[in-house]
Amino acid sequence: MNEAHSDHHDSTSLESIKSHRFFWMITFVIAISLFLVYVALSLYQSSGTLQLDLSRPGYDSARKEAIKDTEVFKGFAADGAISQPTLEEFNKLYSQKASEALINIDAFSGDALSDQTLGLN
Amino acid sequence: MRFRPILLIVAVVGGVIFLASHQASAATTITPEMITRIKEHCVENLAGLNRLHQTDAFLRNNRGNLYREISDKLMVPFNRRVASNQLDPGNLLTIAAEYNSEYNKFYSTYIAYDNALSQVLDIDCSREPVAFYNALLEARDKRQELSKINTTIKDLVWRYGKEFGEFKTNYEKEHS
Repeated sequence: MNEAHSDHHDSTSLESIKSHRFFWMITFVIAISLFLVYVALSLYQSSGTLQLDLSRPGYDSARKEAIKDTEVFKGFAADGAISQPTLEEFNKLYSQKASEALINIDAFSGDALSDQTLGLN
Repeated sequence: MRFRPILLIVAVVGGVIFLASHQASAATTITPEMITRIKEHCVENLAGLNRLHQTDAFLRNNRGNLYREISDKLMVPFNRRVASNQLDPGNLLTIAAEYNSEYNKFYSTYIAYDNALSQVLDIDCSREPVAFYNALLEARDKRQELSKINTTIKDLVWRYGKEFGEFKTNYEKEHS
């Protein structure tokens, strides 16, 4: 008796799903897209892309500064022989980039967050 | 044997108490005068920290791209070419490996610093000055760590250039 009742219940719920197929499909698609958005945002946050993303709201000035330098640096070719001219070529390229890197910028110095700068002492 | 779980519980509880007291002692270094000053300068400091947050994001992108270019487009291809020509690279390989390791530290430390600074900006300093100051101390530590790594990277750029100079001199001596 119980088994028959259960079978009847199953068949009615199956019929209900079949008759509302479009509704269930939309619900399923929304659920999957929400899950994928969650995965994408988790990756965006955990990979560190979030911190490097200058397109975030409030980063207008940083964005404008970053757009200025659009020149693509080709670098040094990994293949080929080593000769006097290739060493000179590398020397020129490396000196150019090294001078940019070694420029006297006090990047990320602790002073910017010191008590004195913030007027706390 | 029966005492092991008890010992474990005692150790955990002791650890928690120690950490809590450590945090509390960090918080107690804030004097009432300092709390007043934090509240007084709250608005201007938040504005300044917001500006710093933006400048740092730009600086991180700018320096990060430059450091990546030096490694990917100069050090790595040059080391490969030296290896394919069966020449002695000297210390070039070691310096490049050290440089990559420091860059990875720079990458992860910046994320930690940015998160710490975001936390500072999320705290209302006029209502929670102690929490604000503690978060500020954390951000300051991360920033100092980042500054140290940045200095190490610059030093490695200089060392690689110097090592290349020696490699070039040796090559010229051997092939003149």
